[in-house]
Amino acid sequence: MTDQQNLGKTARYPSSNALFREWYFAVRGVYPDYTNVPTWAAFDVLESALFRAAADPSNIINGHLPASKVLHALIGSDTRTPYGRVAFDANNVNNGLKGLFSQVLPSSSFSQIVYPSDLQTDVFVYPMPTWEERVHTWHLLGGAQKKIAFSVSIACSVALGLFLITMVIYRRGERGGVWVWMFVQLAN
Amino acid sequence: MFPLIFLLPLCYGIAATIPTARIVVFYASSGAYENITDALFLGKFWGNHLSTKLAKSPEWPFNATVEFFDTMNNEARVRSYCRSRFANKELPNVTAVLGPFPYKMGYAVSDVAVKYNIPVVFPEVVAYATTNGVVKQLPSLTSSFFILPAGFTFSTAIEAYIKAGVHTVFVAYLKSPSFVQPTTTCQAAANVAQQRGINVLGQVSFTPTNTTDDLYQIVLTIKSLNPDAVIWCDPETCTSAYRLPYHVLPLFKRANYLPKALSLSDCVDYPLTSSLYAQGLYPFVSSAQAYNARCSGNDYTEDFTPYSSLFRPQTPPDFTVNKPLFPSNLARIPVFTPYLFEN
Repeated sequence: MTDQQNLGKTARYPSSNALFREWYFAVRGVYPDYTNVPTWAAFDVLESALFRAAADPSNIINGHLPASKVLHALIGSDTRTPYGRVAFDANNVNNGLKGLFSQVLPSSSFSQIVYPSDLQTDVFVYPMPTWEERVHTWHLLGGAQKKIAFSVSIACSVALGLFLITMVIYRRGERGGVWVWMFVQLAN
Repeated sequence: MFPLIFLLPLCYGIAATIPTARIVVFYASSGAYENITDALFLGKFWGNHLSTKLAKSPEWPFNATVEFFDTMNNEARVRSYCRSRFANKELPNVTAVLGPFPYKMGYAVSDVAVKYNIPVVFPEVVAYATTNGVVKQLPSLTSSFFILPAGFTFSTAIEAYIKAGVHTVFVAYLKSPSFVQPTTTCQAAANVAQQRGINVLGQVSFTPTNTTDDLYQIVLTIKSLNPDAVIWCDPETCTSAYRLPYHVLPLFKRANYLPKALSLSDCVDYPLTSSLYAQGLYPFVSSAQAYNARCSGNDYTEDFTPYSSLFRPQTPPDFTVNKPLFPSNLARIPVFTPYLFEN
């Protein structure tokens, strides 16, 4: 992956969205929502148009930047902002943004983007579990997997116990191991 | 004293060559949409940023002054202000406007601004209407610009539905004279679904005066039809405390029913709905959005333009990966640009 592709996707090259969110949380104590981020995007778009209009000296009339020149700079403009790309179509409506489809997943605090694929951060769960399927009732050895897990844990515990007993006996000098020791005990 | 006397005319001369610009920012300190966009705070911050640019960047081409006007959620007040301010010859001319919310207030500004060729940029108000994918633009909106997309927010959701195997859908939306976004968004969703071959089993609208029992009846209708997916557009239930009791999730719980997919218009990740999250009602609910906290990639990164740059990550000017920017021994020197030198 090139740095160009990484741009805005990694901790090394975070997105403007991430930086804006970080800043907003630091100064306001809450994360920005879908009303705050486009508001900042609007300021970015205005700033871009003002800059481009003012950069042309022929646009200046009596030391003032006329509204009509800024209007002209806004028509068809294409600006990158923390809200995403803002590109105005023939009706002055932003068509630079993709619609997003997100889903609240139990594994994370913020919703995950499940579509489109280039922005996707998780997989769309469909069908969603019903209300009944969400109620978890705990049963001791309620399923085959639990039974297998229980048997394996018992076997492992027995093996571990035998190993510990062997160790103890070995340290006492009875080198025949636990089996010899048990045989001797039984014989006595 | 001499240097000061010498510098004053010089400074005056420099200031005189930089053109001025007046930007009017609307905000609401009261009413149903009180401080909803945080335009006052962000506008002040932006104004300071422009002043800093002017002071520190020799090439900065304009001297901006930001004016603020409180709409108090009153359309008549906004219209009256625009008529007097935009036509005022004693005050500096208005160069551009950041439009207010909601759309009635916004369109009131546009009505006046268009007569003076003043551009109005709307962060939240949507364009007039969409029918079969065509945005109908009112003549009074020709100098207005809309940051929000044109009501096709659910197009991506429909794509995901088709991929997942959704065959039937039911659409319900809030129809409010003061807030058209839910209507335009959901109607567009139904149109797109139908065009893409999904059977729309029903389209129902409700109003802000409908009770929760009315909404519950809609949920029961949906339960009887049992569509694969339900699209529900009432985003204010997540942003405005007065609409929270009308949130649809408790009603689906009351009906002991869930479709295979339940998609809301935005309405996820809002602190206002934390009680619904705590009740376990939110998991697996999906949402059509224009913005998500996790958005990343080039489209969400400011490019290398001379304006703004406040939230632009520092990146190497040369995008070649394997070519070191500096000799390895220099790269170990501590610097204050972590993104540039971080290993």
